[in-house]
Amino acid sequence: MNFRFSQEALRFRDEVVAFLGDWRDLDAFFLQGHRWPRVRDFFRALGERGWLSLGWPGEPGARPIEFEYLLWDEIAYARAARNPLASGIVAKTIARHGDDAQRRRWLPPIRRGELHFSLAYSEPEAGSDLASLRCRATRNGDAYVVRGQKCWQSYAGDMDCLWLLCRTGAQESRGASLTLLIVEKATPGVEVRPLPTLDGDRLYEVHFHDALVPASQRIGAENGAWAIMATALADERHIQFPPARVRRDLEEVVAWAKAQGLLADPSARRILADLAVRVAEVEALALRVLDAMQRGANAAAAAAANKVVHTLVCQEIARAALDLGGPEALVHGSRVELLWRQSLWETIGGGTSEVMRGIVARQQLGLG
Amino acid sequence: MSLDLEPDDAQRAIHDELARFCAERCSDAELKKQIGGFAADLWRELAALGVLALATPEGDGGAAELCLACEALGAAVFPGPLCASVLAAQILPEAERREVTAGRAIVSLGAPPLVPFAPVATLFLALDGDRIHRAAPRGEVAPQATLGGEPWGRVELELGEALPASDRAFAVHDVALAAYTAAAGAALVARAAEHARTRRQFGRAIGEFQAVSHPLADCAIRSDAARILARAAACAIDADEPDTAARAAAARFSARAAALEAAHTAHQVFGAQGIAIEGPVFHLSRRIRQLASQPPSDLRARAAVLAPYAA
Repeated sequence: MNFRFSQEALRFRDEVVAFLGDWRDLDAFFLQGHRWPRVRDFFRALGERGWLSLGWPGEPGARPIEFEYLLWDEIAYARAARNPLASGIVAKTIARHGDDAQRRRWLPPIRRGELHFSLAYSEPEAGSDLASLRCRATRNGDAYVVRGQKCWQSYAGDMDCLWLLCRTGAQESRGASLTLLIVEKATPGVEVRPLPTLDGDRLYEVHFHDALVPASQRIGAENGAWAIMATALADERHIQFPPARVRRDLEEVVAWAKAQGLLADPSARRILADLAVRVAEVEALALRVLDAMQRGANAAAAAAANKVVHTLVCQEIARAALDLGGPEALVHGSRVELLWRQSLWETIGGGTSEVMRGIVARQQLGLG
Repeated sequence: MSLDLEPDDAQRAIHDELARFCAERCSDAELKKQIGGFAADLWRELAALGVLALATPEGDGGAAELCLACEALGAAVFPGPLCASVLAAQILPEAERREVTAGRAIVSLGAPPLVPFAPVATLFLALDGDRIHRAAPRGEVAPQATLGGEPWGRVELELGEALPASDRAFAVHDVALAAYTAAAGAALVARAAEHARTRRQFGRAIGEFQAVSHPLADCAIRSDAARILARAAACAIDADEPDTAARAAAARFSARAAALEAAHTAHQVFGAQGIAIEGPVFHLSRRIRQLASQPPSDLRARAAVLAPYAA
C-alpha cells in the first residue's frame, strides 16, 4: 500500500501550484460563462506549458495519469476552471480513433488551448437513456446533412465546435447506429440558444436545420460511436470529479461559519466535522479511481461510486451552510448561496446518481 | 513509488492467515454460542498469531499490517476487547505491554462505572476525558449484559497514575477500529447482496428492484471508502506524517457510518429473516452497533477531524 504520489508527480504539483498563483482571481470553476475570455487565456497558458496534452494516448510528452489528476485537482482547488472537453474527451478520442489527417488538423490547436468544444449528446427525449437519441445525420456525397435538436449543453455559446453524437441508422438499433461528428459552430444551419440556469450560468440548446458537415469530420466509423464513447469516458474518469473542489467547498463554508461567529456552537462543529469525514470519503473514492486506472482495471464502478459521493457531498456541504447560517446565508452573491444553487446540478450532469448507483449495483454487487 | 491502494504480498498474507483462522475458529455458530461470554482460549490463540503486537516495538509489522489484520477480524466480527487492547499496547510500558499482546492481560478500557469486559478483565484503564489512568476495581463487579453481547460490568474504579497517551496511540486505535468496523459492514453488505440475488418475490430476484439494489450500492460505496481511509491512515502512521490524528479519526467515523448504514440496510433487505435472533444479521449488526458507541468517546476524534479546517 502506498498513498503518496511519486516524487516526480509531487514536484509537478508544486510547479502547478506556483503557476496558479497568477490565476487565483479567475474564479471560473462555477461561472465559466461569465469569464470566458480570461478562461480562454488560462487554457492558452496551460497549452504553452504542454499541460493540456499530458494524458493523451500516443503523445510524445505524455506523463503517467497521476500528473493529469494532480493538475486538474489543483486547478479545481484554485477554483480556476473545469477541465475542458476539447483536451479531454475530444482530443483523446481523436488521438485513439481519428485518422492521420484528423490528428494533424484538430490536435495542434487543442494542444495549444486555442480550440474549444462543447459536447452535443443529450436531447429533450434522450437524457439518461442516451442511446435513444434522434438527431439524425444523413450521408449525401462527401457530407452529412444534420437535422435535429440537442439540449442541456454546457458552454456551447462560447465554444468553437460541437462534438456531436447523432443517429445514422435505424432508430431501433439504439447504440449500434450512432456516429460522432465534429461540427464547427459557424456552420450554416446551426443555431445555439441559451437556457439560463439557476446557478447564474447558462446551458444551451442547439438546433440543426439541415446543417452540412463534411464527412472528413466524422471520427471513427459510421455507426461506430458507442464503443468509442466508452473508451473516451474511461480515459477521463480520473479527472472528472477532482476531490479538491469538495475540500475547498468545505474550507470556504467553515471560514464563512467562523466569520459569522457560528463555530462556538457545538452542534455546528459537529455538523462540520461530519462533513470533514465526508470530504475524506470523497478523496478516498477519487484515489480508488486513479488506482484502478493505473493498474489497467475496469474503473467504471469505481468512477460511478466516486461520482455519487462527490456530487452528494457538494450538496451536503451547501445545505449545511444554509442550515447553519441563518439569514446571512441567503444574501445573493454570497458563496454559500451560490454553492447551494450550483450543487443542485452536480448529481444530474454527467450521469444521474440513479444511473451511477445502478452501475455499482450491477457491476460490483451483481444486482439488477 | 506511486499510488497503490492494495496491500502488498506480506500484508495480504497476514489478512489471509487471519481470515482462515476466523473461518476455523469463529464461525457464525461459534460466535452465537459465545454471546454474553468471553472465550479466553480463543483470545490467547489470536494473540499467539501476533496480532495484538502489531504496531508496537515487538510487532512483526506496523499500523498497515494491523489494519489488514483488523479487516480480516472485522469481516468475521471476531469477539473480544480488540481495540482496547490495541490502545493499551500503545500506552503501557514494555512489561505490561507484553502481557497484553500475549493475550494474558485482558483489558477493560472505559469511563466508570459502566466499563467493557469488567467481569473478565485483569487490567483496568479508566478514561477521564482525553486522559487514560491506570485503575483498580474497588469492590465487586456487577455484570451487565449488553446489546453487542459483550460481558460488561458496573464497578467503582480507583484511579491511579495517568498514562502518556499520544496522538499516535489514539490514531492506531482509531485505525484498528475503523478497519474492523468497515470490514464488518462490508461483510453484511456482501451477505445482503447475496440474499438480494437469490431471494425471489414477484417472480424475480429482489435485487432487480432499485428500491433494494440502490441502498445496497450506497452501503458498498461507503464501506469501500471507509476501508481506503483506514488503510491511508495506517500508512500515514507508519510514515510518521503530521496529519495522522485527523486521518485516523476520519476513518473511524467513516467506518462507523458505513457499518451502521450497512446494518440497517441488511436488516431491511433480509426482511423477517433478519429479525430472527438466530438469523444471518443480528450477531453482526449488534456488534456493529456496540462498537459505534463504545469508549473512548468521540470528542477527541471529532476535534481532530475538524482541526485542519478550523485552524
